[in-house]
Amino acid sequence: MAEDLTPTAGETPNSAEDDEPTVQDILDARDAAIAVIDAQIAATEALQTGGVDPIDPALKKLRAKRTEIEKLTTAAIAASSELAMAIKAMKKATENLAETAKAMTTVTSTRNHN
Amino acid sequence: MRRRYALLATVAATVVAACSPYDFSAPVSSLDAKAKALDSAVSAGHQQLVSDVSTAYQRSLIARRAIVVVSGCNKIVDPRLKEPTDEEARAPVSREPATTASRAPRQPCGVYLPADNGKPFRDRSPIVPELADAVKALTDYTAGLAAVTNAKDRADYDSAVSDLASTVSSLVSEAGGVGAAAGAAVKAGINLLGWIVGTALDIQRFNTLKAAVNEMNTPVRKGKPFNVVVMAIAQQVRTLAQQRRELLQDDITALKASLGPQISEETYRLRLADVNAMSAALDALNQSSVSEAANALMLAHLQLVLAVNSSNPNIQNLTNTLKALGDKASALQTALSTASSAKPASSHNKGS
Repeated sequence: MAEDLTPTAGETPNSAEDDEPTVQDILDARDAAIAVIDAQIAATEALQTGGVDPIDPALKKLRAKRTEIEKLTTAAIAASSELAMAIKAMKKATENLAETAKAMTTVTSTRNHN
Repeated sequence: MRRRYALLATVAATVVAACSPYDFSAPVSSLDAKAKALDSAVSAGHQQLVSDVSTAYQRSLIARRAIVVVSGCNKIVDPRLKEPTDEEARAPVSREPATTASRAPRQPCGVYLPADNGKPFRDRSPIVPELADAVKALTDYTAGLAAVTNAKDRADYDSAVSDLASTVSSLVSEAGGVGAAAGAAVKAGINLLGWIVGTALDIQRFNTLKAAVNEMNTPVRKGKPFNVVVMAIAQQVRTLAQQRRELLQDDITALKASLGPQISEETYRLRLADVNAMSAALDALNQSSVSEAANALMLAHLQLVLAVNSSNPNIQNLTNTLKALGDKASALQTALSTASSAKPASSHNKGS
């Protein structure tokens, strides 16, 4: 009988995940993009003349771009499998912690009842 | 038999002296509090952003001297009262509180432009579900760490054992026939047994603490789970802060343009107060750093890992990091929750 090589949940082949950027990769890309925008904002602000400035629309666009980068970064991290795996591991560790903590308090409450 | 107990107790005492979970009680409680502060930062950042959007809308009404309608004030949510059925009582109940359940978008009771009448309120910056999950996972995890290092549990346990020993001892003494000496022996036996069980539970707690923090320090792909979760939450806070910044800067720019000799002194004063309030909120946002708070939280967790794995843990180092983290977390929370309004609804009611 041929061996069933269909991956089960949590045992997906590594290749796709290996190609996917990590959370740190995403944050590094964000830092690089934000640095460019911030330099553009600084350069535009240097042209400020006071009062109602003609640079205001340009700054507004740059600020919107900065926000867009942050939103895209957040969305990319939220979609990353690394975050999903980290949350899963954290929940598992939390379950173990809760069970162990419960053991002593259960003994205490049982004795108190007695 | 008694010698065997004594030997077991000695061995247990040696193990526990080297690794008591309660040595970490104070720093872990502090770590838990700081994780909750990060959680609050997400909530505060989101709520204040929603509030800013509402304030900006009010400002735009005032700036336009707009004709408005009052809308959304007649929709009352009040489900009918009814007795629960047995089936409903047996049905599994979600552990999530009802308040977090998603509700249909609605237009809150308020004043709107006629063109906006009836349009449901849309949260333009909702917390991403995966990141809300990350926040919950983090705060549950640190609460779990705090639970296994809670020294009060051991004190309560010891007290319960002591009470039980006294009660049983009295019963034996009063039973007659065996006498007070037997009662004292029973009491000592229960206390010793209770102590051995308690010690075993302490060891179990320490081992679970050690396993949990080490697991959170073992990369899932490239990043360590604790760090990945904290960085993800920090990015969500960053995004909320940037959205607030953009809104405030755009509002300041618009309001600044309306300042000048063409308006009355009182209107000028009120608008200036508004610009100043928004500038102060913006400045607080610019000066607070979510990265610093997140970096310190990750450092504190790593120091906890090192301390738990060490036979001579450096608790002071961990305590110092947590103290610094406390200041950073407070500054972040303050910045994210700083109101950006000098009550615009009443401040611009005087015409120019």
